[in-house]
Amino acid sequence: MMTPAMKLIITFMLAAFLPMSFAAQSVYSFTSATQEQQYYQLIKEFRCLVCQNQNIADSDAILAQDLRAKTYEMVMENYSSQEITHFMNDRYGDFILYSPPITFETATLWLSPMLLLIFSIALFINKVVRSKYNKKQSPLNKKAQLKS
Amino acid sequence: MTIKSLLPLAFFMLLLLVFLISLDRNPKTVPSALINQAAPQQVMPELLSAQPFSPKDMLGQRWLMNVWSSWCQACKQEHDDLVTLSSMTDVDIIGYNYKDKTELASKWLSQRDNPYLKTIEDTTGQFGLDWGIYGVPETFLIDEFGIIRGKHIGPIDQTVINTVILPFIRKEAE
Repeated sequence: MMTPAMKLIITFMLAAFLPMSFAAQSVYSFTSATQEQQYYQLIKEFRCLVCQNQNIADSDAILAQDLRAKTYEMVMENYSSQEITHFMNDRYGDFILYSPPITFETATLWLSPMLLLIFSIALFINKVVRSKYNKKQSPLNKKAQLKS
Repeated sequence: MTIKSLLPLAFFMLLLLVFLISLDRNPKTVPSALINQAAPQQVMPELLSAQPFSPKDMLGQRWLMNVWSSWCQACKQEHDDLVTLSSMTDVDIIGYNYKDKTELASKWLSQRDNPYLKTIEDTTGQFGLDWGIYGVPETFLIDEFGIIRGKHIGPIDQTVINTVILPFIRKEAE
């Protein structure tokens, strides 16, 4: 059974979460559904620079608010998503993009584990094949074969 | 023992080295996209006089732009080192007051030694976007042609002055 005191404590603890649910978004109004969709798509793809591992849609940071405002402004001025992405990329680098372009660095990052795997498998197969071949050739085996 | 048998060990050591180097890197430092690019050219108001300031005014010399705010703790921490730097060398430091209130910023400056040749003001952070500013303090190193050559994120200290800033300023003299 919950005592009244416990209820009160839980109420206060829950109340602490209240401001969070309100703070995140300022309300923007759009003239068309396409613009609205474009805006929400874009802010999902931009990474917040101060909070990290959050996109600017989810972040409460002041910088994220600024970047959302800039995105909104550019959407309303009819810039294409590509132009807006380019604008952000020019100023904040690849870091701001959740899907970074393929460069030497990213290619190394993505390909090296795969190359390592292929190399290991090749090495493994090579060893197995060789040891089987050696077994057949070894004098011990030849003797065993002769006996049977 | 053949060289071939040492290969896995060598590979492992290489991997270890990569991991060790990565341990030292700070993932919170976002490399600036503006390195080796021209500094943004918008004209901004000066904090105390409201006179217009443009980075073009600084062409012909190497200079620093230090981004600060009165609400920023790390800026207080680096301030003494900036004062030392400005008295030690004749490099011009432009203060960039970011997302601050004019009164608070001028009060902050009047309470301390002022290392800045001029302080420009960006109360809303609208110009900061073009500079790729994402926090305070940040310090830009700009060369005599108006090209951004470096950016230090976080407070300046003696180590940063000796390893980053002084070598940058001295290059001009050569």
